[in-house]
Amino acid sequence: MTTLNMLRCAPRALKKQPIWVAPSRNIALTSVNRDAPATTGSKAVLPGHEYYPGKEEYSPVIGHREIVGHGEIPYYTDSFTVPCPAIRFREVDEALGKLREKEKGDWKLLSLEDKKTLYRASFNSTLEEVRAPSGDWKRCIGDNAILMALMFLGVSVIGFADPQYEPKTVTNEWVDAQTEYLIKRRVQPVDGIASWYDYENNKFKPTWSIFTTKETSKSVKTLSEKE
Amino acid sequence: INFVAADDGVPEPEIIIEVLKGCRNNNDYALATRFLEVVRLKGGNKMSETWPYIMQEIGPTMQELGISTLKEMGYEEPELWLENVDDM
Repeated sequence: MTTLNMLRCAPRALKKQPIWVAPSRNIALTSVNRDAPATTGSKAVLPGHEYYPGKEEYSPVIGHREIVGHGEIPYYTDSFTVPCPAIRFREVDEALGKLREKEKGDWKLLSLEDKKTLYRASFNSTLEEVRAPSGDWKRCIGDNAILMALMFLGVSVIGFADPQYEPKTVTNEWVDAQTEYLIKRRVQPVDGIASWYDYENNKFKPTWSIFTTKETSKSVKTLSEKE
Repeated sequence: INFVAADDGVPEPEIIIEVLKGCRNNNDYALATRFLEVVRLKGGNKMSETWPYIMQEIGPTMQELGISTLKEMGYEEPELWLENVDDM
């Protein structure tokens, strides 16, 4: 889209140029004068290259590339849906001029290298290369992995370092009060916490040891003494 | 050529021959190869069935004009690795 924006500014820059009107196809085929050189101060057209009316208007945007199509804004793209854009890819050179004269003759005399240079002068990439996978997914996943790693680092280092960042429900006092409340209410008597508490002897059954660490086991003993 | 490429099918050999002759009249060899690439890729998943058939039909005219096949040019597979503009 940037080139289209630049093309909008080009007529303002070349104030003395007439506005380019898109001609219809029949007119373009008959009015092109292939032997006429460029009239304004741009580079003289080399022999074998096309001259197209309105070329000077777009030259600040395109450079010295040839306009090959007609009836549209010259804009180069590589795609399967628009395989032949309106401008060539490479700029005009002296070596290319000689190749173009060769091209006018018999095509059987062109070597493979000549053909390849002709192709690359007109097009940036082959259509097969357009279809080829780019491997960009690796970059995306890699960048995401790095960001996730940084996030985990930050949470583990900063989040757990200062007790100020801990929520209050994680402290042992809160958990002990919570278990005391739950046992008194006899919550989850079948599968949960009340089933692990022996109400006759006011103790926790041995399976409760799975959920305790060295720190909590002290507070559990106090709980059982309270009960 | 852009209109032919926009159509939903592989063009007939007669059309292809006319386009190649038009390229010859305009002295543009690169356009001919580009057009052949388009015709090949129009087959899509059935490229292995359509492309040899079309090469059979076009073969004589290609030898007349001196256009080399895509296999000789090495353009059936990607040649250079170019960075995709969307990924920059």
